[in-house]
Amino acid sequence: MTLRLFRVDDRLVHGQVVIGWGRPLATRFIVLVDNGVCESDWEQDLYRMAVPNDVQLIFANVAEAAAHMVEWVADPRPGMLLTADLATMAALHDAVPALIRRINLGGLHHRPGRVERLRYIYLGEAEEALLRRLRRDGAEISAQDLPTTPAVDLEALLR
Amino acid sequence: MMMSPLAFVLTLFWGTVVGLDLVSVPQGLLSRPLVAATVAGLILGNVTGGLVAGLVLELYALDVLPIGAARYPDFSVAAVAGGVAAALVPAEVAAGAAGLVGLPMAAVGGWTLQKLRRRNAVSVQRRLERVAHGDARAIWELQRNGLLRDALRSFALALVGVGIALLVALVPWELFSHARILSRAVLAGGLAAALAGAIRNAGQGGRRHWLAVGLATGIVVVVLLR
Amino acid sequence: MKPRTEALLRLLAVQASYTYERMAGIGVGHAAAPLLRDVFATRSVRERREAVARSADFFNSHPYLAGVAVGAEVKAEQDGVPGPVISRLRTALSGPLGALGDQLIWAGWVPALIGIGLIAAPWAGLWAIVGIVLVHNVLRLWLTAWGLDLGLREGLRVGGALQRSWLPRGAVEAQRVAAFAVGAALPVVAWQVLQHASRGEVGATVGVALVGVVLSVVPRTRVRVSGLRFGLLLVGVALLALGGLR
Repeated sequence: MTLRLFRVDDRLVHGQVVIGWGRPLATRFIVLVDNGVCESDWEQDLYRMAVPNDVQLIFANVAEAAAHMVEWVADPRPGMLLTADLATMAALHDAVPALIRRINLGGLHHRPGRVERLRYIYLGEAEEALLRRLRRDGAEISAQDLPTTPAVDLEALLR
Repeated sequence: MMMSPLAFVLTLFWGTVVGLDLVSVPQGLLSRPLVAATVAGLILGNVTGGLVAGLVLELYALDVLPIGAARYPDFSVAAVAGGVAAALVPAEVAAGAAGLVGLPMAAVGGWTLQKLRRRNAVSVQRRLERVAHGDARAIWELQRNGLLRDALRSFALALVGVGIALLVALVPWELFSHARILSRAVLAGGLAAALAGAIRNAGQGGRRHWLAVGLATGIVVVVLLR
Repeated sequence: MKPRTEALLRLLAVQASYTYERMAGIGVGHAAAPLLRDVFATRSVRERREAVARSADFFNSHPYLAGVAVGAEVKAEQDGVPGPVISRLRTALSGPLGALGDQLIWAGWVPALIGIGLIAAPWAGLWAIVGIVLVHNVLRLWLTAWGLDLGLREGLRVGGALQRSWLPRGAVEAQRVAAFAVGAALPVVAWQVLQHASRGEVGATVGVALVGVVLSVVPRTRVRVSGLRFGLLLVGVALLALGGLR
């Protein structure tokens, strides 16, 4: 499988993704799955600007991502897939559960109704329930902002 | 060599300045060990000692990329303390003393940064309603208090760090048979940190090629200078 | 003081009240306040307060490029863009400005200048230090002002303007220079510190360093072995090996 990272991060493309993970994983393409960004040219301009020239950035909504997932997984180039929220990742996992085995929680920041679990992970009750459901459905979930920091598995995260 | 009261006060002031420079204001490179430690050496009248501390501690700082609110050690005040230690001990132990003081202080400094951010959050929480209503005065108060808190953090770190450096300077290093092994160890760790960081940051593209060319150039320069 | 100048000075302290909840949001709000005061001088207090509150919400980017977001947000407010769109602009700017700034500055010009400083310092001493600090601060001030002006000029179109600018290309070049300068600096620093060492000591130092490099890079061990941890371990071992008093 050459999609090496399935990451939930509300900042989508940023330094931790491009440098922190992108360099050690030798990433050559990034799939950004977000229904809103998919319909907004100026937002796509912004994210494109943040990605190095030698990395392809693909924008997709959930339906398009589900349809192309087999193709991306078979792509010989190392890649990663990003969503800004858990609901998008869950919808994608529901569509192609066999292709998304591990989910990385990289950044879900403070919003009203969310409680701090780690300094970079804040979760509301509905999001915790969604994570538990994803785990029941077979996804391995852990939080890890950078490859040089220890991963925290879901059980420890929700404890 | 010991420290005059004026030098003591100046190093505390310099420690506070570089601690603020790291994150709060103005992020003007003063907090880099090469700068912070060398100036500390200058204050003590031993630029060479401070420079040696700056060189080795900078190697460790090159491993640190402060990206996306990740946790990282704070080498700023640590380098001032390391520079003071290096300036006060015999030359062959300077790098070792800098590491002995600077490395633990960097870890402690990183921990205090986490605490500072938590304390800032409490401060925001107290003014949440005013901020949510667009009260510019509340926002100004938060900035002012954040700066004062960081200045206090940096001053306290400088006080502890310089205090430890003075204790390290009291050790009769010249009496130990293998004292310089400490300097070798600190340098080896620094070289490992800087090279590993450079390899990670270079990734697998052309940057790795430029890193290799740089290393080769550095080796040639050293061979020619020997 | 002119609002732009005041905003520029405030941008130098954009992370002064950094938190994990809002990150640099309060600092961005603080920097935007003088410009918003100017923009909303003839509009209602309620509108101005709503804009100020929006400007202090969660924001995280590279601090040197935060001015781009401040400028774009103020221009969007000036153009009467609806609040939810401005909030979306902030969110969308956050990650890309962070990524670009991290590449250009933290992984680019800062290590490049430090590498040059490490190479030059043994010969030029303090002048090398003064030189890199001066160059850095001139670049830092210029970039902050450039970003603020770009944002103020382009507003919602700032993404396209950034993409067409020198910035993405500059980030690539700065990282190449950084890789070269850091690579060249390592042997020079080692030589400087090991000047009076025996061949055995040089070999042992380089050998131990290479072990550290492998441990810090290999995926299995890199989570546990950071440069700082490896250094602390070596200091501990060295203290045990100092030997007896002469």
